[in-house]
Amino acid sequence: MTQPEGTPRGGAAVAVDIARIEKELAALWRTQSGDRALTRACSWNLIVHCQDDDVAAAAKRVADGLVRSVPTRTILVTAHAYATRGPELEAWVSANCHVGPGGGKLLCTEEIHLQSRGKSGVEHVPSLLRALLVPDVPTALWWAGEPPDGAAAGRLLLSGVDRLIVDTVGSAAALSKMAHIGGLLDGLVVTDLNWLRTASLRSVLASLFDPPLGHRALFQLRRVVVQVDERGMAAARLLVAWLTSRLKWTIQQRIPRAAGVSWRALSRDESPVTIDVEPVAAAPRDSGVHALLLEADDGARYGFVARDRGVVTTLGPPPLSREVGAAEAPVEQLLVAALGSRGRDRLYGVALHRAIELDQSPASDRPVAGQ
Amino acid sequence: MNASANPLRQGLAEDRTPEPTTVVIFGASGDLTKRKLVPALYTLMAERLLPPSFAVVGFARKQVGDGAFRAEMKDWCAKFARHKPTEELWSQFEKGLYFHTGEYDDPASYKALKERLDAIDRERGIQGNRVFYVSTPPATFPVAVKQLDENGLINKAAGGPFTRVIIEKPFGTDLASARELNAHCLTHLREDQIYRIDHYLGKETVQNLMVFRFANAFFEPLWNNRFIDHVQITGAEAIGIEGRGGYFDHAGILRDMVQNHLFQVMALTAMEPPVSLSATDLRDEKVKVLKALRPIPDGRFDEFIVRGQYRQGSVGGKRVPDYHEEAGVTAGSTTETYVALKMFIDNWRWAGVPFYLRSGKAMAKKVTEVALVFKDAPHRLFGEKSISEPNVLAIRIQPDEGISVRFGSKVPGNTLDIHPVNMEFRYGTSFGTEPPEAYERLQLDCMLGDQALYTRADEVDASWRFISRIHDEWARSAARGVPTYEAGTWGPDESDAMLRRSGQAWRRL
Ligand SMILES: NC(=O)c1ccc[n+]([C@@H]2O[C@H](COP(=O)([O-])OP(=O)(O)OC[C@H]3O[C@@H](n4cnc5c(N)ncnc54)[C@H](OP(=O)(O)O)[C@@H]3O)[C@@H](O)[C@H]2O)c1
Repeated sequence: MTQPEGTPRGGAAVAVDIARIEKELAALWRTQSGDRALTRACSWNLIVHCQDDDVAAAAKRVADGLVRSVPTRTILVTAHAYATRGPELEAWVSANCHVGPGGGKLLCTEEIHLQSRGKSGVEHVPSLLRALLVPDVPTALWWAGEPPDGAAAGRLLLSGVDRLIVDTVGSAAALSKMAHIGGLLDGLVVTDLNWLRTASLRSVLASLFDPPLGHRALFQLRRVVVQVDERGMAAARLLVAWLTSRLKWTIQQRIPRAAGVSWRALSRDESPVTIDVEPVAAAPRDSGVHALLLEADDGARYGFVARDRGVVTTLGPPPLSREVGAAEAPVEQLLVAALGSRGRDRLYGVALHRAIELDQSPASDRPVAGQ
Repeated sequence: MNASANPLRQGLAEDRTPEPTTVVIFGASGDLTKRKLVPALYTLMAERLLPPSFAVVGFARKQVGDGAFRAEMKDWCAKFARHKPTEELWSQFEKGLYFHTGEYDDPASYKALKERLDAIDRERGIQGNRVFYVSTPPATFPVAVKQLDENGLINKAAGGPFTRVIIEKPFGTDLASARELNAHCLTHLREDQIYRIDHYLGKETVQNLMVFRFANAFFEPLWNNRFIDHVQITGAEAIGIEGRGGYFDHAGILRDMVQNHLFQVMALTAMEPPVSLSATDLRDEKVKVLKALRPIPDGRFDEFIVRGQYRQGSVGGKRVPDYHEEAGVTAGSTTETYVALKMFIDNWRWAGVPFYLRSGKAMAKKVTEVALVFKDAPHRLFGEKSISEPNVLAIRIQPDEGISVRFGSKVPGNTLDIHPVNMEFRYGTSFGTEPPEAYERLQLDCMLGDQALYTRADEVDASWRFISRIHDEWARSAARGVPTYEAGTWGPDESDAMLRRSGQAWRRL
């Protein structure tokens, strides 16, 4: 019977002896191919680090979907660092096959699941990973769930990782961790899914200052307001960091507020600008961003308000006030982007450093009450 | 002022955004507009690749109001656009969608169009940039270009708003008519305002040919007459002429597929590495290939070209009638539905390497590919057991885009048997994302002023110069009739014989 296009096949995991992982995978390939031509594809090694079984289950679903767009050898690592019972290391292998576009050939990728327990179990993982990576193919480490601290990530990074993928959504503090980890390994590219999640918002904002309005209006800005819910504090900082670094504003002072945070800055022509991050109860987008509003010295207002995950309403003089498609990609698509050229975004490095500067800028001694 | 000066644009994925523009489509009641042009524009808008100040004006003789045109285009976009219209985005798009009724040869229609466009400019802040997309039957191309110019719709002044004109295919039907059309266009437009479309160049996989060749170090050293025995380029269609009899019977496959699409694929396959990907550098290299094509010697056409016409047969389980039974085909027509060519590119790289091109309707399956067939290894170390099949590097353009390499491998066992095996890379299996439609890329490039994927006057001229001699020869020898082939096969036997004479054979696809 022909499998319908895209139907996963052979997803069941087989428990294997650690020393025989590669052999078992090869056997799996032979049984999978059956009577039809099978294409084995791999353009990335993807190590997925999960701190518990719940994170692992969610990450596995994403990784299984991802292979339709980016064929990877996926190695899921669940590290039960505090477990005291059970074997130090266990492994399962499975092949993830689907019928390629146009039917006919089966396209298969492979998945290895490693589970380590206790401190010594964790220590076995890097060398095992080194042995399991497909040669001549780059390696990404996706740290699923909470972003790591330097020490935790450092161990795995040493197994030969080219790209570290994290998600700072919901955690402004994670941004400074990212900058630290980025410095641990020469040539390591750090990719933040939260940065990619807000890409469509940056593009919408930029489009307002194309002709006919033109970019001169940017030089007249005097106030920036970013409205986010509690998940959005990191995204707000990244947006402010991107905007202020692109416009070459200098951050002068941080003004902590009971709710949210503000900064005083100087524009390129040394005019004062205020930047407010204001909390809202709930934003419609996973990034937590509800709106970004800009005010110019002549009273003109520009920006966007999110309507839902797909569309934002832009503000500005006609024809700029309108609904614009600005879809927020789900995690699977963000990962596809992270493994592509967008994962190597130079702007992110600049914005990340600026975001850290924002939090390290001198605080005003007179905290202002929330608005 | 342009978008690239916007500091917020720099480094974004969408860093190539055109200036405010109105696209005017002539022939907007036609098939191409519905299936391709407007769906492509809608998708560009949905992907935020169009500026907020943007308008599309459909122009045709048909009496249609803006409202009816918008409703109709929404249905077509729902069917054919890569991004299906959503209520919010469609309502934005349709605000800038208009219909203008007019006659193609009536100055008053153009004056009214100009007033309408000026009003749209004011309403939507477009500042006069215009793309005129001439998507009418070819007889109307010169009329439309002339009327646009004479009624003040073409801005030839440097600086100021741009005017660009996209001309659909076919660009001429022979060398004389192509030259006439070129000359006509150049009296009304500058060359940098003329965008001659060949939608094959907008296909991702055709562009990928350049990436395979020039982004990888190991193909290029082999890409010459030292290692390549011959090259085969195939553009096969499984369908017959299906309702296009009236058009096709006048054109034939040589005009419809070879002079434009397959010659462009051949030029990209054979050209030298361009200095850059700029329109000038890229087209300079392509035209050198077309100019280096060795003309078929007088009196020896049969050695270098085979044509055919399909007769009744079956393709993919469906009966295909005789070509002569198709609607719109004239009785006794000698129009070719299949052609195979043997060509030589007389330059240093390709001296002595035959390039075989074949294209046909009602073939066994739909496939477009380029295959480089390698010479044998210089020494047969394994004697008789040595591979009898040559190495092949095949670049599949459609469907199942990708690359395959055929080489010999030892058959497992204690004897030394060598068997050819295929190693395949398939585009779709490594990149799951859907590539943009050719008409998205091409319309966007035109708005951005990038002519690299459009053909230049000298390319069109060089290709017609080669092709027109064949048509002339066929006209002289019309009485000899045309060989036939059964629908659902790979063409007439004469085509196989042409390769057999040189010890070569068509690939089985
Ligand atoms: N369709 C395709 O897939 C395709 C592919 C490649 C190239 N092309 C080229 O693209 C152009 C447009 O293709 P199409 O399929 O949209 O063409 P079409 O449907 O035959 O014609 C487009 C429109 O042109 C107008 N027109 C002007 N003068 C005409 C005349 N003398 N006879 C008939 N109609 C006339 C008609 O609109 P009104 O009568 O309302 O004015 C018609 O709706 C053609 O040049 C074609 O060769 C088409």
